[in-house]
Amino acid sequence: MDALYGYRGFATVVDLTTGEYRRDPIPQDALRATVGGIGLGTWMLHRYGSPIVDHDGEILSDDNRKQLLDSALSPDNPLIFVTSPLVGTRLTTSSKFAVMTRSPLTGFIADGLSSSHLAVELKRACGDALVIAGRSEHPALLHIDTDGVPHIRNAGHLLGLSTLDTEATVKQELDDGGRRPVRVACIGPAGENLVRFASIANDGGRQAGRCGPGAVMGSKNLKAIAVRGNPDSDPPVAHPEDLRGYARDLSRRSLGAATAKYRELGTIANVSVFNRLGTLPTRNFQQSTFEDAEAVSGEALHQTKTTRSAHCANCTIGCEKIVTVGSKAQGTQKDGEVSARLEYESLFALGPLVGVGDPDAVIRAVRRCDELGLDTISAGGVIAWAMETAGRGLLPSLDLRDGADLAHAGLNFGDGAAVIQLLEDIGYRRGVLGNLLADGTRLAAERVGGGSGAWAMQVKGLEMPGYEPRSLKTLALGLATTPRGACHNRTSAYDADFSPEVDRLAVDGRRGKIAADSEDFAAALDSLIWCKFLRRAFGDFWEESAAVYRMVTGWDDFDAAELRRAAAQIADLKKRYNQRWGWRRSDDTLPDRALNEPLADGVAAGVGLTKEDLDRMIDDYYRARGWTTGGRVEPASIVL
Amino acid sequence: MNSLTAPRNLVVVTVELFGMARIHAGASSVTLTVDTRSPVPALVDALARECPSLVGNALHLAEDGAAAVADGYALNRNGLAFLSPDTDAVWPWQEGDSILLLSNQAGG
Ligand code: SF4
Repeated sequence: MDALYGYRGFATVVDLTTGEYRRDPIPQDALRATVGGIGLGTWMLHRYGSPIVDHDGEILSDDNRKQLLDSALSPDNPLIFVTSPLVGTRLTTSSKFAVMTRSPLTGFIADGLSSSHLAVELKRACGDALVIAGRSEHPALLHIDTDGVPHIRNAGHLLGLSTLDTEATVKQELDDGGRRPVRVACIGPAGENLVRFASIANDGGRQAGRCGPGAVMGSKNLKAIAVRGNPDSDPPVAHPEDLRGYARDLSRRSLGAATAKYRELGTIANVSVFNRLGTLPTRNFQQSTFEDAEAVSGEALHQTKTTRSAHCANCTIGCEKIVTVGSKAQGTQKDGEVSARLEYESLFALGPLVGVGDPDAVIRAVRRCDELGLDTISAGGVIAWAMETAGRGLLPSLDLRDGADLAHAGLNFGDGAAVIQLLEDIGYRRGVLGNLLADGTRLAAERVGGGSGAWAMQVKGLEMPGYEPRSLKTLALGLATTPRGACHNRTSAYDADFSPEVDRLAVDGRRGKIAADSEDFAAALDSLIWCKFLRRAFGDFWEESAAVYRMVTGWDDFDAAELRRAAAQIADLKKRYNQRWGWRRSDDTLPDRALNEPLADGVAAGVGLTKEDLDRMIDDYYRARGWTTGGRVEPASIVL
Repeated sequence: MNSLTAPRNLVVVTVELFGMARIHAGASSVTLTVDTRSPVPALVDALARECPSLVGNALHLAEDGAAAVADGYALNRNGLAFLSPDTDAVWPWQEGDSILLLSNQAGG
């Protein structure tokens, strides 16, 4: 075998049912064709997580589909952590890993990303990936230390702990005399209780949040993973001198204008802008502006709250803003004061989306989500749906009788205390309502009925992010077609909408190609893995990234065209995975509200999006991808 | 000067500031009186004169002294159309127009 640079060339596979482990080699052509991160992770999902019966092309009944959805919580569904060839280099923002599984919220691919020290230790201890299969008999801590041998330890004493307390406890228990800490990924009570949008937390509160990987981890009886690798096992890079020079230059560029927003105010700067542009989803997408937007805007929080910046390991940008309740004028943070890692999506979902304009209430809610291990976007989305449903008088059909439920009888938008209480009820599946909402908006609406599916703001079961699709038409297409469900991260289609390139309020025949290209761009970013906030710091992204890949891997004939082909193939692989799990054309759509109600307010008041217009854009997108008119990728077109 | 006293080819427009531009300026908006047929660079020049604290962050000065929108920022008219900052195209401006100065990075 040729010498391998940048990669380890194997995955560690642990079976929690039997306690056995092995190291599976990963073929070099698969590494090269899928790059790493989400690309390699998707290839591994096909390898380790295929259905026993391939449902591609089958017309499944709703019952069958429900069974497939629930089977995401069976021991057969693997949970896979995947690193990348850039992990372990000094390249800025490269300490990232993908978390891959099949989602119990959507039934389809769940491709998450998270960052920081854990990425480096995973690669050292486990190789290019850690595949976790089966289900432990007892609550488990999976501990892999410098020898690379997995140990399944009893974690009964960790049950019920928050994500932050779990991490702290595990680090203390596995302390090696203060030399090098273990790095921990864990779930909170929400994952233990199989909340379908539970997250996996690592490195002090970073989250692989979307699509419910924490519920899959909980279904395996796995409370935490602790990893400490051997630094000597870092794979060599092929051209270290070139890479050092490039890394220095990129770090310098990462401190320029292209990342200014993220360094200065962070993504919370979006609130005031989106409000002005009529793209800030408010009160369950009934409005696109929020009357209290200024109070929860990035500018106001910067000026009135104690805020400090933080960053993932190996990152020069530092987009994270840790914001404390109370006012800056009160002075430095006191013990016991609550702070939270605030970013736009959390702020939008637990603020405007649920009608809460008190910044302290939002900070407390975000913090509670992080402790419980809940995806903030889905948590805010399902609560917003419940608030609207309560307002329409449909919740009494649930027979809310016990103490926790009675408190929600008068559930209203804007009630920050009720949001916190509901988060608690969801995280522990308490009461009829908490238990219902823990299954996500789509299933909750199916159970409540009464037409409440029309305002269930989800795609493929995944709750919508904080971008109003009716006033961002290119993104609307991206949200409808992305395999993961309503996700703004696996497509950067909104970049076109926020530029002179298109009229964001109108539909035209170019959007299919723009959405496909933006998805390919995201696939390359997410596979190499670069942080998406670095994306404007590149000159020619494809040429530069291919050059970096050559420096790391030594595959000197790898060029920008091959990287583009890899990105397009990753999109094909994701789609094919969903097809095997029962995808059908009607899954690529948007919620009824987005297709039937014009916007009620803001600069885009009166603007809507029809199903016909969306379908035309979707057809253009399938054409741009080279898929069938029905939106299928033919298995024969995937070549590895 | 307000719109009542402005000669016929001049209009008053408001530049709304977002993100760090707002914090640097210490204000959320600035009013400018501009010719209806000013191209975007001329409007940006007027903004730099009216609000010099924006120079060095949201705006920068070229060697010839002309102001331009800094990399990382964008302009938008009335919350609807995004403008190419260096275009010579004339819009033309109307009385009461709002020009938004905001980050060109929409990621969140
Ligand atoms: S820019 Fe933010 S999310 Fe990206 S690596 Fe840096 S700190 Fe992490």
